[in-house]
Amino acid sequence: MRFKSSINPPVFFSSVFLIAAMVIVCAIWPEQSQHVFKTVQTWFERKAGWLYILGVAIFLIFIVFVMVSRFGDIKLGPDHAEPDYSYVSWIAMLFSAGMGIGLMFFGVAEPVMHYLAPPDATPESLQAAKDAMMITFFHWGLHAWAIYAVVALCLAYFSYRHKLPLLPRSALYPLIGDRIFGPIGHAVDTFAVLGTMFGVATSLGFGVLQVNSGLNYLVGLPVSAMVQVGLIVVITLIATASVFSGLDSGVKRLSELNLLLAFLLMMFVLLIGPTVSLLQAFVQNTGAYLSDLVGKTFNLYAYQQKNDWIGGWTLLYWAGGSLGHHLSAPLLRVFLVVVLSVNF
Amino acid sequence: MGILFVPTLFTFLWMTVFGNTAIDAIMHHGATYLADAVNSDVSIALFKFFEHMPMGTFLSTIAVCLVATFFVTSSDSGSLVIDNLTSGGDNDAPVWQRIFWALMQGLVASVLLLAGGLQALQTAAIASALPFLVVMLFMCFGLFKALQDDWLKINSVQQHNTSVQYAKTNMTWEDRLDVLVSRPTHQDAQTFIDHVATPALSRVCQVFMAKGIVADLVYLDGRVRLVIASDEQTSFAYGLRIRAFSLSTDTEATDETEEAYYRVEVFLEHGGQYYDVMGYTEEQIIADVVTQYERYLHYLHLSSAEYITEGN
Repeated sequence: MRFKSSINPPVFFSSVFLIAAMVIVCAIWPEQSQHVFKTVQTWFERKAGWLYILGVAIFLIFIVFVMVSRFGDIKLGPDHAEPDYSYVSWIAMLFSAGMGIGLMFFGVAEPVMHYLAPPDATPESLQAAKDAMMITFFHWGLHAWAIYAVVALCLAYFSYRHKLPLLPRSALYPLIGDRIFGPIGHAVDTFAVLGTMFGVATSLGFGVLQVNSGLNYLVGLPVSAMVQVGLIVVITLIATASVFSGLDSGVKRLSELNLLLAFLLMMFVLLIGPTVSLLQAFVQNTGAYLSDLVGKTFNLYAYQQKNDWIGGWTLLYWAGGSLGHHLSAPLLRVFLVVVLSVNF
Repeated sequence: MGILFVPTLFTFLWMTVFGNTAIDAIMHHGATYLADAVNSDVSIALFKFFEHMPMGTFLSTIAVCLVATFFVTSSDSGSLVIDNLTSGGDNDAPVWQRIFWALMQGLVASVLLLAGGLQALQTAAIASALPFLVVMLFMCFGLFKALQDDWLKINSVQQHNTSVQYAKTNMTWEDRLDVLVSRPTHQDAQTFIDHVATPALSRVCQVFMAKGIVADLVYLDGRVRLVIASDEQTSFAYGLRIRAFSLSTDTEATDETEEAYYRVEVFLEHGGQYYDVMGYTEEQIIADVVTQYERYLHYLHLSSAEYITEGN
């Protein structure tokens, strides 16, 4: 069997090098690197937080602008293109590429955490309860999907309409022309690899922490880092096996089944829980979210010195979660096809 | 629009169902154990939440299965994306590359968990996202420029108004094509203005004067301009100017003198119209002036005429 490869050496090797360097440093000096992580995170929260907030705000404004402006009429592909995937299977892949783990991990935990330790209100008050849902909506709402939409729209547009490669660098073609095929383009794609790698690794980390807790709760499996690594090994091998056996379509069906299961779980909780008040809350919170959108978008707690709070939450979702998740697969395959059919 | 709002609403519903029920349990049903669980270990919160539901153990089992499956699908799609990025957008990359990245993801997640747990994971994600965040701002800008260009392309095809004049007068299509493929020099353009355009405009001007409309022909610095001034309404103006262009495909400086070509463009009262009349016959120029005058009258009609009554 011939050993085939289709790698693009500059991107492949610089990505592998950077990731390997990080892994080796963490493996050899775990304690020092833990300290470094803490310092770096604090620095980001205090000094670069505004940059993330502003960036994400720009993405949301940009996407809305493109939708409502005259550009909204521009089609992303041939007029009569049919979608490759159905809408449901597209949504399923969207959630299964990272968002699913986030919803399972934070669905209960995040609102409760904000309720117990709110940024403004008195802890465990009625106001804290309202605020908690507001903040959660804000983190999981339009902003997160706007990040997704920007990347997806760029990729789809430049590959379908301009026949450029399906890569982030293609979006820079109008700015730097053929130089996207040079070092700048390689750097752009490498950044995308790093963002995706650590974004996905983070959701895998969350996932395995939760599986560990769940198994501890159900069958008494001890909670420890070694057990978690063991779980990662096992689940990664299953994922690898599915890739190896060419079960791509199987994975597609699995993610649809998964979404259905998640949906049923949600419906069950909805029916067992305070159904009517939940539905009321859903409508009211959505309205309050829309009315607060602008103010909250730019809220940095600039006058209250609550940098830590923003750092801990907003950054985590938008930078850590969203950027990573939203580079993921559906966007590369399914998304563009659906966008095509919807005509944006 | 669906791409932004459908997933958002689903997420909102999810968060409401789980979050509000949990808060409700703590507020009204004294489920302090849930608050304690969240404070001590976030990852246990979901299972503690199911505890106060019927069939709690069953629900927890389903939840564990769901998370594990989400793990598999996340890893799967992540490796697909990274493989795609590192192989230049090739969708049919060999399987070993994807397996390599799937294993790499597992390795990175493990090492980060061992080195600093949750915090290490978050920090790595936040830090690695920063360069790409900046890149994305440039991507937005690039997309904006491309969309703008696209829009122009679509609309310039529909609104290009010179073909009307070609059809209106007798000119063979060979002659018209001849004009289109030539690259006029500045001298050609000036000769055209002096010997074709100015006489044409002068003829139109005389006819206007004969009809009692005060028209004025201004020739200045190689530009010619027919003006019908009006105090009450917008004036009408039809001017011709020489404009120089070069077709540069990239940002590198090209040899300007060699690449430059000249167009004789129409300027109306409200500015340049971006179309070229170079190579028209006198008759065609006149036809163009009349067409523009007709549009001007139509505009006046739409903006200031008042409907009086049916018939007389």
